[in-house]
Amino acid sequence: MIAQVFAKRGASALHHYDPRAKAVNLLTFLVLFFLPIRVWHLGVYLSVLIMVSGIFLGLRNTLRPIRLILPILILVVLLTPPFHREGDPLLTVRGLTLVSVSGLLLALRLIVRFTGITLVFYLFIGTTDPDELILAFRWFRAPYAVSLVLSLALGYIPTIRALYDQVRDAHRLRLAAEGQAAAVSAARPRAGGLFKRLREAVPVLTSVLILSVRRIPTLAMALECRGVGRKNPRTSYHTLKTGTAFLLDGAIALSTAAALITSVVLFP
Amino acid sequence: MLLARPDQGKTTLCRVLAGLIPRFSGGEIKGEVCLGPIRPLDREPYELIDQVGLVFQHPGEQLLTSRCDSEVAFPLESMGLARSEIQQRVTRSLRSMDLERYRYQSPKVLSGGERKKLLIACLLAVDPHLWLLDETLEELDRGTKRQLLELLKDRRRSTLILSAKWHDIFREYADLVYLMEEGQVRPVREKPGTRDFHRLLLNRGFVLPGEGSVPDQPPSLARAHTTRGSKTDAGILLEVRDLFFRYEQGRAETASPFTLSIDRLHIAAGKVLAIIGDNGSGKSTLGRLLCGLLAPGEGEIRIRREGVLQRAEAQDLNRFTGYLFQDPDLQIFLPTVFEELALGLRHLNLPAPEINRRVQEAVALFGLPAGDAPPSLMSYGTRKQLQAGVYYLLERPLMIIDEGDSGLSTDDFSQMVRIFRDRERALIFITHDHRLAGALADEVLELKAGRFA
Repeated sequence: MIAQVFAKRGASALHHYDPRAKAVNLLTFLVLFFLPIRVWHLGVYLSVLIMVSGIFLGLRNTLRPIRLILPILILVVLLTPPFHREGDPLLTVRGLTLVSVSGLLLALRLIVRFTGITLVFYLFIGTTDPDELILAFRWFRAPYAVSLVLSLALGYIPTIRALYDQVRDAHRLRLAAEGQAAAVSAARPRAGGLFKRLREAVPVLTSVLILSVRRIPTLAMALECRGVGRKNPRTSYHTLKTGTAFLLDGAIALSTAAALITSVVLFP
Repeated sequence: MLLARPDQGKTTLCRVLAGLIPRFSGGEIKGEVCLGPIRPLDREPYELIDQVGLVFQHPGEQLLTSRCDSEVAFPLESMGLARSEIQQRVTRSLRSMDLERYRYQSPKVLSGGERKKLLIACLLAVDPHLWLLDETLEELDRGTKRQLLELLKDRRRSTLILSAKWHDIFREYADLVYLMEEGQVRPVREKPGTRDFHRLLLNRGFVLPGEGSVPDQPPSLARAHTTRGSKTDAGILLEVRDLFFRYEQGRAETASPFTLSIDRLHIAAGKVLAIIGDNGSGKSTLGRLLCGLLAPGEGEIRIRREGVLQRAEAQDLNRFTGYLFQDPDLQIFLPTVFEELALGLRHLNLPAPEINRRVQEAVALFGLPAGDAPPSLMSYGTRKQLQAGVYYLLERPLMIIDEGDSGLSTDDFSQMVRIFRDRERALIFITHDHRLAGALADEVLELKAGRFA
């Protein structure tokens, strides 16, 4: 998912929003989604996120992460109510409660929470340049090594994605033969049902994993050849906003956080 | 200039000089390496970046960031240079390698040769005392080769160029030439370009311009028009008509994204076609279109099926065309040579004895190690041979070899072309080596900015 986000760089207002301000908003939303507040309240926060994402990134981009977590959401709907049958019954068979109101509400809460967390991370990572991320972490006094590793890890995701595409192409060509529809579809994971696609993607994912592991020593060499590990302070080619622009973004972030916290206090 | 046929230890030597071996590989090392007063074996590689700069043989392994300018800036940030200095150096280096237009683009959108140019731009920005170029010139077009060699000459930096081939252009720039054989390095006393020098290299298994199977003159491109203009379809295996392709996202910071436009192209059974062109001219894009990995925006590709030329969809092309990627590692995944070669045959449901027979045949033809050898421990050139062996066994009517001569000696590549040359099939190979194209192909086409010249 992150790879898809990184692959679609944009120039929306969210992309230009200061990463430090975005980090404040990220943290606020994360805390809110974990608070034991009413479900409809969480739903409002999720709606706000969807609205913001829809306005700045478009509906298609907003639905993308939700589509990706859809199988998990379906599992939550199917599995949560049977394991939480206490409270008012909603569906009973011969006196046995299968679905209760509280079980259904719990499923709904988990769905809203999981979707919200996914979306907020999607917005944060997807609209922030990896180089700016590292600067933001350093601004918050995160240890340099941690910032670098995190930035490199995030920055490396598109590489893995590109590797996946290449390996998929290689499999597609190599296993394509007359009468080998299954093999070809393995390299065309967009066809068929979700579980079928997942099952068929396994050979490609395995190959990507092997290649990625094989590349670890080379990546380490490449990093050291670029000076990672030196004792001198590292400077930065990229910069974050300063002056009025930074203050404005900071004010927006703090106002949003204050508004969200106030809403929790007013509607507990 | 250090010349060595594949598998002689060029990359190992480079990595020893850069302080990477044995640090990352393990192993035993004796003796000393001295770079002036510095001993790389006693230092960490990151301490040496302003002393020694290395460009890996496979550029994809060395790229770390998501933007070309960030890539060039990365080592400068490590060195702790001021931002203004970094900006200046980044701009200057990108401009020197004609990459300014890709400044804000991801290195992923660059072609193989352009990625090498980006890595050279990184070295230009740092400007270390010793440059180590591990087969870096192999995937560069002739103009870029000359440009780079001129640039290095002007900078008066010590440069060690490692190559599996001798190109004429080296004669003007190489101060010293060494030969590496079986792990041993020895100086060549004969003056580069002289008859004695050529004789020595020929004796050592190098194929030279004007000698053996490779002529001295660049190929005639006139024959290409025959291929594009013929009106008879007898024997034609694949035909392209009014093909147009445009990348969704621009490859460069230009108003119009890269486009490929081919009015007409066909290849007949038994023919070998070479495609040459500068880095980024669309050679690999054309290859990917012909094997169905990319879908054309307009026009059509037709292939011969059941004796008739028919419009081909992506899946048809997947089955019809074999495509050897530039990087063999993207097509090799399994633990042993045997498993790798047998995979496609198993998908064809062949009986085990037949699979064994065919695998043994491929092992012998491509000079591969025993079937239980692990590909991950084989040299780059041998992995390329294995990659070719895999597709040889699949018996596709059309084969495309994308810069297969990179990392292979000229005669090894010539042998590969001879193996794939078949009266019933056709072969297209993409190369920067004009002479090799002229020598091995029946016809040569040159791509320039997405159009045939």
